Amino acid sequence: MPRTQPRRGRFSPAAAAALLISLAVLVSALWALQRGPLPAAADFGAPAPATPTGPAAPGAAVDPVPTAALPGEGGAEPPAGRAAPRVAVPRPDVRDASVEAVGEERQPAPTRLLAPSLGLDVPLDAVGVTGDGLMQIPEDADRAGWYRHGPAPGEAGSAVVAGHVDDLAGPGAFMALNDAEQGTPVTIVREDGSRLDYVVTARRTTDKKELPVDDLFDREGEPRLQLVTCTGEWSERAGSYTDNLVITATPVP
Amino acid sequence: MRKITATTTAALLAGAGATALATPAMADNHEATVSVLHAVPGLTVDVYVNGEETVPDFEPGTLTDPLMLPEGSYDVAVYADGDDPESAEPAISAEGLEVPAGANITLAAHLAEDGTPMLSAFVNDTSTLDAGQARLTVRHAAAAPAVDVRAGGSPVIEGLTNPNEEVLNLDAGTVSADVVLAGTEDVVIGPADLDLAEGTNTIVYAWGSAEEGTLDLAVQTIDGLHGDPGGVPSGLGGAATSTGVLTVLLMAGAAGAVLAGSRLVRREVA
Repeated sequence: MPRTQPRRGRFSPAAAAALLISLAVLVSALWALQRGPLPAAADFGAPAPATPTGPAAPGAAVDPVPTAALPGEGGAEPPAGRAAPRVAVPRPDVRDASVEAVGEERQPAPTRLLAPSLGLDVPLDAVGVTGDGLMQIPEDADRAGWYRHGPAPGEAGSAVVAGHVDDLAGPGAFMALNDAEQGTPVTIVREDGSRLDYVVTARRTTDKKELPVDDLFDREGEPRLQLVTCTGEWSERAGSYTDNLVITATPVP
Repeated sequence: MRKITATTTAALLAGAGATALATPAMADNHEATVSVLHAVPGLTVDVYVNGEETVPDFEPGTLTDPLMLPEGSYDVAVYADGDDPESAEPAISAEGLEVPAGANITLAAHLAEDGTPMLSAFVNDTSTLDAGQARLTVRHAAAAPAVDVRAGGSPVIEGLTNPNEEVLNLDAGTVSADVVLAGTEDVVIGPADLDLAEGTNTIVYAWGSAEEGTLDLAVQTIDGLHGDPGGVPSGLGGAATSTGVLTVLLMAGAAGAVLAGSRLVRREVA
């Protein structure tokens, strides 16, 4: 393409663009370097309802069948190796074992998280785990990730949505979670266009190393939405913030 | 129908308690989890446990929900549908099956490689998986020679024979699986899309008879085996966050600004 000779004393678009880009880089680098503790607010609310059991019993999600009643109940069970106890075995349900019959109905995936009073409107990606076993977070701090291996919003247990509090370009969308209060409305928009409404019921700030992952990623119990980001001091050595901020929201009845 | 007494099966079960398969929640109350799979083609049966009819009108290709059974010793007999156990001979039977506390077992009625009906007690791996992982168990329960199992066209299990199994832990997701005669490209079952759900042991049985053209897959799933992610690195968890990188960016930004600015100024002055 022929280039016009820049005329003397006139505005040069190329140079101006270069100046703008340079300034943007400068500002974002300054943002990142001078990063101190993030704004923090006091915790509130009861921690998320935890499932009272210990490790999930394998097969616990399928319908449990009542234990067979032993004849002479209360007596000691015969040691293994003796004659077979005449246990009355309950009749189990029977199901089709074909490949086509496998698979469970899932709730539609969430696609957007809204909290208008916080100015929060963030698209969601379905995410899994990183190579080192941590929850994946979208690199773009203007997006957030829903942990697709755990419950979807609307299913039993804790649906987890996490986003970066900032990136090299500046504050991320989830910075807004610092302003969440008891009763703050939160809405999940799903892939089928339906919406689920929640209100914030709790906030917890925990050292990252002490994040209660078994509770956060609980797949049982009351349906709840848990929003996670980072907070606390910037640790230069770790290259991350020291704490996690966890906001718990429960469905609006 | 011949009567098969599954003494080898009973021995297999007796050993199960010693392995690391006990699940804490169940070990406490001395119970085992037992499912029953019917994988003998063409024969509806009644299954009797300890002399009681437990699974009536049990059709091929179906599976019971898990039964919670007290640990102990069980007699299992399989009769052709409607046969009177008082007078008829069972099609298959096993006496004194040891069911240890905490074990998760699938009792499968299926064909041996030579086509005779048999019972196998498979012990299901219910150990916890890493977050994001799924477990695939493949069991050869068909009247067929050794097979390879392929996922997406490449073998993941080779030389599997009746009545054996292989267990793999994989990234969760859907795989297109087929079964070929070992060492060949001769597809005998599939391809079928298998949804290997995260935190779930998906147990696939190759069953039926090659000779009679009844080979098929049966699937059992055991969920709740998931692990949790180790954390949530939600504040620039990446590597590109060192002061060095930021400082370089800072210098570059400043230098660029000075250069571009000076060019603008110089042009205007010149």
